[in-house]
Amino acid sequence: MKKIIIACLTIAALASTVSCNRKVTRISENDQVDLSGRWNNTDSRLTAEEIIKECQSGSWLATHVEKTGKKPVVIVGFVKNKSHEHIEAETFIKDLEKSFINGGQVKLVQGGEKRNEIRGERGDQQDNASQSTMKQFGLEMGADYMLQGDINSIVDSYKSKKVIYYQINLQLTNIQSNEVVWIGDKKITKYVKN
Amino acid sequence: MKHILTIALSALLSIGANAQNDSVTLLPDQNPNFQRSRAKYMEQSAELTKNQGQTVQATYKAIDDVQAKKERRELAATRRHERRMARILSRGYGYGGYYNTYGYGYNNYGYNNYGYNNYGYNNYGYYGNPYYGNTWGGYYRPRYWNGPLGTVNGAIGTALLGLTLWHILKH
Repeated sequence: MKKIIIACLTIAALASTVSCNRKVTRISENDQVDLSGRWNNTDSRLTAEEIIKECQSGSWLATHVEKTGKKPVVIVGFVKNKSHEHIEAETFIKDLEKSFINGGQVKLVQGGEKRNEIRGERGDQQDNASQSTMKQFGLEMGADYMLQGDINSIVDSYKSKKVIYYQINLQLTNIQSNEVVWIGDKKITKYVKN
Repeated sequence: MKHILTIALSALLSIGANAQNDSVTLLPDQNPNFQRSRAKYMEQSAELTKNQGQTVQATYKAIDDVQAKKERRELAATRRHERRMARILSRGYGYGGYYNTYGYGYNNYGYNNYGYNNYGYNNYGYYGNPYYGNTWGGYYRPRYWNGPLGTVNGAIGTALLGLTLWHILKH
C-alpha cells in the first residue's frame, strides 16, 4: 500500500518537473547554430562581413574622393525582400552603416522615419528652443549616393531534402547622375535534410 | 489722373514693403527654400515627436513550430467551444443572455490572447450574429465550461479524489 502511494507521489513529482525542464544558455554571436535551415544570425553576419569588405574596397570610394576632394555622403534607401522568408535586412545594413561611420571614409545621413522625427524635433525647436540653441532648416547635408538592395531566394526541394539559395544584392547609385557606382552581393546556399 | 497715379504709387510701395518683410537673410549655404520645409515640419512637429523616449513596437511573429502547434490546439479547442455554444443556443435554452448572466465575458476565455483576429475568427461570423450574442442563454451551463473558480474546483476535486482513493486502498 505504502509503495503504491510512494510510486504515485513520485510520478506526480516527475510530471510537475518535466514541464519546467527548459534550459537557456547564452552563446557567442559568432557561433554557428543551424536549427531549421531558415535565414538566421549566421547568414546575416556572413552577409555583413562580405558586403562591408566589398564596399570599402570598391573603386567608387577612391574615385569620389579623387573627383571631389571630399568624403562621399551616403543615405540608405530600402531593401526589397523578394525571398520566400521573412528576412530583416536591417541587421546587416546596420553593420555596414557602422563600418561607414567607424571607418571614417564615408559620411552617413539619416533617412526615412528617423529623418522625419529629426525634422519634427527641429520644427519643435523653432517655437520652443532658445535662439542660441535652435537648429536651422535648410542646412542638412545632401547625400551623394543612395544604398539600395534586394534579397532573392531560390528553393529546390525533393522529398525530405531541400536546397535554399539566397542572394543579397546591394548597390550604390549616384543621386546626381543616376550612375550605379558599386554593386555588392552575398550568395548563400544551404542544404537541408529533414 | 493725379489721384490714380497716387493710388498706383501707394500700391507699389506697399508691395515693395511686403516683399522686404518676406525676404529673410540666409545663413551661409542655407537652402533658399528652407522656409517651406520649416513651415511643413513645424506643423507636423507634435505628431513627429510624440514617440520620443518611447519604444515603438514594430514586431513580427517569428516561426516557432512548438508555439504554432500550441496555438493550433488552442484555436481548435476554442472553435469546438464555439460550435457547441452555437448548437446549444440553437436549441433555444433560456433567456437573459448567457454572457451577461454569468458575467464572464469573452475575455476570460483569452480570446484576444489567442489571436483570433489573426486566425480570421471574425470570418466565422460569431461576433456578428445577434442571435448568438446577448439574446439567448441563461441558465444552461455547458459541462466543459470552466469559469474563474474552475481551478479551485479542480484542485478540491482532485484532493477529494486522492483522499478517497487513499482511504479505499488503506482499508
